[in-house]
Amino acid sequence: MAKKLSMSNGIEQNNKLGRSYWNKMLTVFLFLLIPTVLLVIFTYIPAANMIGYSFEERDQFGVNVTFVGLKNYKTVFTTPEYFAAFKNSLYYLAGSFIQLALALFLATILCSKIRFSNFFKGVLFFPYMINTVAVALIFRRFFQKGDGVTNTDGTLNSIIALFGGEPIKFLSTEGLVNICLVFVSIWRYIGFDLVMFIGAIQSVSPDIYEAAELDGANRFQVFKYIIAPSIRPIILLQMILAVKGAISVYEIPFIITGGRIGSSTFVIQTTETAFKFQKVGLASAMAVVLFLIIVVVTIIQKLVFKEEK
Amino acid sequence: MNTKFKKAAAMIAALAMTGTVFTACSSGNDDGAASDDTTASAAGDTTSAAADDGAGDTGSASGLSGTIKVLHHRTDRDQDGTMTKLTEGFNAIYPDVKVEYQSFTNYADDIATMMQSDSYGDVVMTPQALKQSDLPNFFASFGSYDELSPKYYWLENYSVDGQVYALPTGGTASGILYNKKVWADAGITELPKTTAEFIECLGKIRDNTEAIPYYTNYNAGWTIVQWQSLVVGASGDPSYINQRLLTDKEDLFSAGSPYDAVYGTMFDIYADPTLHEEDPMTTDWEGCKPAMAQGKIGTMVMGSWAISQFQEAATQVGADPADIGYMPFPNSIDGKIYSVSSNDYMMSANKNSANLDAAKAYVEWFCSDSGFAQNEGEISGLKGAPMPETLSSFDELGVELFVEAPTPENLIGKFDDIAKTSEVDPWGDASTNFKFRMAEAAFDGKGREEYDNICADVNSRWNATRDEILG
Repeated sequence: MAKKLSMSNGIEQNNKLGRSYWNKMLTVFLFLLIPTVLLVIFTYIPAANMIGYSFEERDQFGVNVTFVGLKNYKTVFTTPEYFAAFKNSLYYLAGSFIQLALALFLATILCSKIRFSNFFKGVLFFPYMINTVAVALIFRRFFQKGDGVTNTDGTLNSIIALFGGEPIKFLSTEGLVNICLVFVSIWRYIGFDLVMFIGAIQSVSPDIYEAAELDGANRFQVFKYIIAPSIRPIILLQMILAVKGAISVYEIPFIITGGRIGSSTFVIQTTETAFKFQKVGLASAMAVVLFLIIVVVTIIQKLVFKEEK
Repeated sequence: MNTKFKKAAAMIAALAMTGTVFTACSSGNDDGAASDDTTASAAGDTTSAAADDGAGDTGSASGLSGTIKVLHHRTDRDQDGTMTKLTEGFNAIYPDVKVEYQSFTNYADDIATMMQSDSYGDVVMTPQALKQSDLPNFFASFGSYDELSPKYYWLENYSVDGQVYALPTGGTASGILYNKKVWADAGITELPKTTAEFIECLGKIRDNTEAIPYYTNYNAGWTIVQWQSLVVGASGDPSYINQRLLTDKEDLFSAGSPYDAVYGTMFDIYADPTLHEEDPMTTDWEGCKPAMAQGKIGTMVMGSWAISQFQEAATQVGADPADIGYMPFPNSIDGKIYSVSSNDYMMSANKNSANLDAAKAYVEWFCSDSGFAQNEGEISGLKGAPMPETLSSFDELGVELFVEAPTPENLIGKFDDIAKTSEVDPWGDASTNFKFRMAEAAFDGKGREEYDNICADVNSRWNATRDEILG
């Protein structure tokens, strides 16, 4: 009897569940509809088109399209100039690890009890919100060496002059220009890393810190045994993003130097192939190759860190 | 749930209605165009009422009506109202055509993207990146070349199979922009006649004035392409490209060739740090205009289109606009200096336009009667129109200003083909372009040897692709 009752109850519940289930599904569906449609229209369809284009010979206007099979890929892999641009990625790779270390350091400090920590968080995050074009203008001025007629020394050279140094043409000197651009890139993106790290550090229960404090752990020990292990997944994620970012650097060198003075990158070369040489097919193949490189690097990175675990 | 469905139904209904409105708009336009020669009452939509009125007004001389959209690159002229003022002149002849303008900062790329579909306005500035042979895929013909060529310059590169697909909005001469006062203060009494004299003059400016003798404007990137516009003028030969480069297959770079004359001079100036600004990578295009007007900059290679902009800047900072002078590139051939005039943006009518006749009428009016080129200080696209005042120095020096010879049928588009395929791209500004490689070698103090290496590399790539394409 009792069993029967519960059964009928169950059916009723099922019915109710069924209705609310469909209700819920409809809500979910409606909420997902717009972002999914946007994603499909603006990401997946263009990406699929791009893969299609990479097997064709076509210009910017899409007339006289001919199917050429793997010819574009052959060109990409047999032209050493294209891959030479990856050597500049090494600058950015080195820079992104400095950036991560610095962000982690600052995040740890800002999460301890210091005065004005929210103010400093704001200050450090602020560059991330500035438009890249504005950043480019700021730093062109920052690194400028003046000629005394049309312009004067920029901020950095003024400081150097203050200490009696000779002004330097930072952006017009090969090699040095890449270091300057990496500096700009660190300045601009460190805020994002910082926010991620602060979020992760704050998600650790305060009880643990308190216990550590009671046990007399010092700052470094707290970082080594509590903070670092608990935010490990975020550090790994940031490292993957850093490598991906270093391989596909684009906007900062493109806007500040246009890829000149030996500061070109693979993505700059890809856009130039498409829009300056009208070889959209070849450029699509380059983009697909870049995509595959990033996928491979990410997989390797994941495998390496998994083993460590 | 019921309410939810109601909401959803309402949303769908709303979407459907938006759809009807859109279709109503487009059909309204079509009707407007069709009502030119059919009965006006055929259009039942309320949206086409305005167009119907226009068509019904048989009093207008043209009978053209409808709305046309003009896509162009002159954002500055949109903002200062010049374009709307132009429309008044157009509407005096065609009162029933409504003209709308849309300008783009990044015109060349945006128009290329828009042209992937059928809707790229009614009138456009003809994209320069489009291959000549592809013009009929996008634009309507204005008539035959034989009929129009006595009237307009520069139609050669915009004609396919004897039909003309674009008309010139204006044109420019190639040469060098300079500050007359700076040059005079340096003790230069006569404009240079050879490239060596030109460099000597820059040295005098360095020694005798405070001004920077030559401003590379290197950061902007496109500024270096201005040197390329000197090449054909330096050859003094209207068929230099068709005959000597494509038919006789001359090398681009050999001792004394037009390319060598132009880029060798550029290399020598860039290689001498005392002749140009300190830090080429931090130059500022907008800032250089008042600087030149105030005599802080002596010289700059720039198309004649720039003259009016520099004169405007002079007026703004209270300097004398008359100080801005223009001279040809001093490469004398048998004692005579040449300069080539070439078209600025051309203008075309979208062949898919709903109001094609109105669009074509606008282009024809803009290129012949609007006075746009004169106001901009450009050379008019109309043959026989007077030269702009800005080029008066050309008359004084007895410069021969010529127009490039038409490309023979079998060579149409070949120069561009070779340029893009080989990636030598003489008119390009990709970061790997030979112009930048030369400039950077010069800045680095690498010397003439490196210049020769770059020339050899350019020649070998150009020649290989040329032989592949021309056979």
